[in-house]
Amino acid sequence: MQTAIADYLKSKLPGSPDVSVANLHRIPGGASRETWSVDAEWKEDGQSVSRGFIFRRDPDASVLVTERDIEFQVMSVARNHGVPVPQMYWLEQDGDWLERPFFVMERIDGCETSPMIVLMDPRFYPARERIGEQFVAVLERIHVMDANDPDLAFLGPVPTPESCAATEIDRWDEILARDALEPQPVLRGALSWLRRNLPPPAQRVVLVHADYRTGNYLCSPEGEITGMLDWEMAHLGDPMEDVGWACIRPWRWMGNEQVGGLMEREQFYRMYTEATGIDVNEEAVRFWEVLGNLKLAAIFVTGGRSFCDGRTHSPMMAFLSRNFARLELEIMDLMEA
Amino acid sequence: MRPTGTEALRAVQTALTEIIGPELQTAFAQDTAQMLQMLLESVITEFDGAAQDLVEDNATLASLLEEFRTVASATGSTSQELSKAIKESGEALARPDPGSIAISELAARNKELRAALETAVQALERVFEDPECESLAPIRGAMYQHLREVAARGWSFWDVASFREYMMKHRAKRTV
Repeated sequence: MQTAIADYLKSKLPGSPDVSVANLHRIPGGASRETWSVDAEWKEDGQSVSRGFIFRRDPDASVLVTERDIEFQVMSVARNHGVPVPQMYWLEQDGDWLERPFFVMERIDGCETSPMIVLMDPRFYPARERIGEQFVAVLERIHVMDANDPDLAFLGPVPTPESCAATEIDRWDEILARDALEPQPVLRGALSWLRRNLPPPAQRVVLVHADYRTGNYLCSPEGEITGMLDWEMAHLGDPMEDVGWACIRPWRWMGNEQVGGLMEREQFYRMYTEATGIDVNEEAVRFWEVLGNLKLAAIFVTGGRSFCDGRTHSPMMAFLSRNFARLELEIMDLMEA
Repeated sequence: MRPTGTEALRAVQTALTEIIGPELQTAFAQDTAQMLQMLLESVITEFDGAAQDLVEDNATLASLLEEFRTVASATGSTSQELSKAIKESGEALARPDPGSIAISELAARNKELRAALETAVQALERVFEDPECESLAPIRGAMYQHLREVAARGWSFWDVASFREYMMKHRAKRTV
């Protein structure tokens, strides 16, 4: 693979016949795409240039079928709108170079994504408050992107404020119906509960990251969020969807009630409203938390389907699919069932 | 037979930690080994009690579906979802229990019963606010109670991180 990447970079870096690559390694995590890191060195105008690249390659099977071109485009647009996102370089839609489609982006060094490090490494302790502030500030920069912005036209028709929630219920209902290998009474009951507990219409229709959480941002020990990652589920919708997703228990990490392991819920709501001017409706967040837990369970169900159908041998798919019972427990608590 | 299935799986876990783990050179390989450890842990905690859990769950599910049929039939509701759920519950109950305690047979029976429960739960959610169906609230609660007990069972990697205090409180409530 290292040779193929070197050949690929030679084709993309004009006037650089001697690109050398080193330290190719796969980065753990990334259940929807493989993430590979590589160091490259070449000459440009007689000067030696070295740079780290990230290759995000389609997997043999995924927890979720997502469009790489959507992810690539939305990250490019978000970066142009001031959201901290790695620079996006190239998108390859076929498998000519690396057997499967992939895209290439900047590697941001000196930062961490793992919640185990960002929240539990003593180097990051002094920056906790700063990370919390940044967590809200970056979300504001995403939600300020209006759905009618022509730059976001590739995301399809803009939903009405009234239809955002129902559209997302339909999306996950379909995925569950397609991929569930067993009856799912809790998840199916929750879908019915969601349909009769729709939130108020969205206050604004905006770009929704749809996986906005601790674990998906690159953060420096000083508390600077330098890159928001994993945009594969991004779409136009209700900003409360991201607020609810950020709050769900699986992303609290520290085992207590703090949102994203960073701050109390009330503080998060207050800071978000101050930054965006969007009021946080607690009942709406409850709706989006039920849907968020269901969505995560459905993602795991999809991984289990890929594993059991023999499309992947990834132990992660098997493991995740066997481990969403606690999400069901949380869903039933939130529904007060 | 010794080592038992559990003991053999523990041996695999130990080998992963003590022999294979130190040889792994990349973060990705180490992460995969950790995932395998957790996958094995989830199998081990299920292994010994699997048949007993399935026998008990199947009995509980049959009892819940029987009660649901009785109470739902008495409501006089014209809900099509409710009628469908009553019919599916009856069909599931009419099928014979497996004649063995082989996990595969017990699990197949569990799947049939849970499928009927799934339809019943969806119907109950749809008629939740129908005044004609108020009498269904207790059976809805009983169904969710069973689903809670199943969902709280066993080992989960969430219990050591995001769900730590939540599960401690949940278990404390159950022991009171």
